[in-house]
Amino acid sequence: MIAKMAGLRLPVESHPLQAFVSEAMKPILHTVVMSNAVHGYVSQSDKGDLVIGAGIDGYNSYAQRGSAKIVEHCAAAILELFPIFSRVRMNRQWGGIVDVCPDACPVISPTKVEGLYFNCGWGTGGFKATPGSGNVFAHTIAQDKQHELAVPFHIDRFTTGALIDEHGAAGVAH
Amino acid sequence: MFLIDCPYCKESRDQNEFSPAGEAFIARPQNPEALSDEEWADYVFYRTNHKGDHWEQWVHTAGCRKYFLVKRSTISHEIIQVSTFGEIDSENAS
Repeated sequence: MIAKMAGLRLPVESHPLQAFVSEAMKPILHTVVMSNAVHGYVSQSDKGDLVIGAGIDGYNSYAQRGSAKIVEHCAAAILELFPIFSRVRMNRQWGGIVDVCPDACPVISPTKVEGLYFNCGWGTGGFKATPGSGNVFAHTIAQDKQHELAVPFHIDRFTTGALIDEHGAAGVAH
Repeated sequence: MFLIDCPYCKESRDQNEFSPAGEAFIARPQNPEALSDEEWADYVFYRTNHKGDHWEQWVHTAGCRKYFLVKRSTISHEIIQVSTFGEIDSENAS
């Protein structure tokens, strides 16, 4: 949207991403488990509820809700890992909109427009990378050139073809 | 979740039977040899990402397996129009 105002196009599309929270239970899972094989992740919060998620819907959407197909896929993946959770009842479900690049990695980059910088395309990941990426993005803006850690995330990678080969790692919700 | 009218099967079927296949009307370049890197990038990676009415491609994966065009609101998921290729192209799409 902002890119359009500046006359730019971006290699980014918006998709719904869902997550779920179950009823609270006694401690049963002490770490975050994420599987690229069955495509899901699960952890238990301090309150005792399971936090579960999976992938995005394949179609573009700004509707802030996901499809039932993804719910089913996600539940199937978690039960593949933990059959013991088959009787757990879900408390809440929600969908948010994520911006996804073709290589599922973010853009941290100056643009052709002077003084306009983009930090976007964080897609299914990013939450844990926020402090670090904010730091290198601030450097990029202050110096008007890429921080060395942000060099691979330049928007030019879609022109040069030097995409970031981490779709397997970054394409799964985490 | 929504229902899609397959223009080939002539039936309104669950979205689960279909797979999305990206933005519509992205034509393969006529003269690939002459394309600059920027033009290739635009063809392969850059998309419009409409907020609102959006022409896109779907394939009836669990049905007739044919590709077709759908005009869908990316805000409400309402499907406004369904078409086969040939009936509608980038010139006469509204």
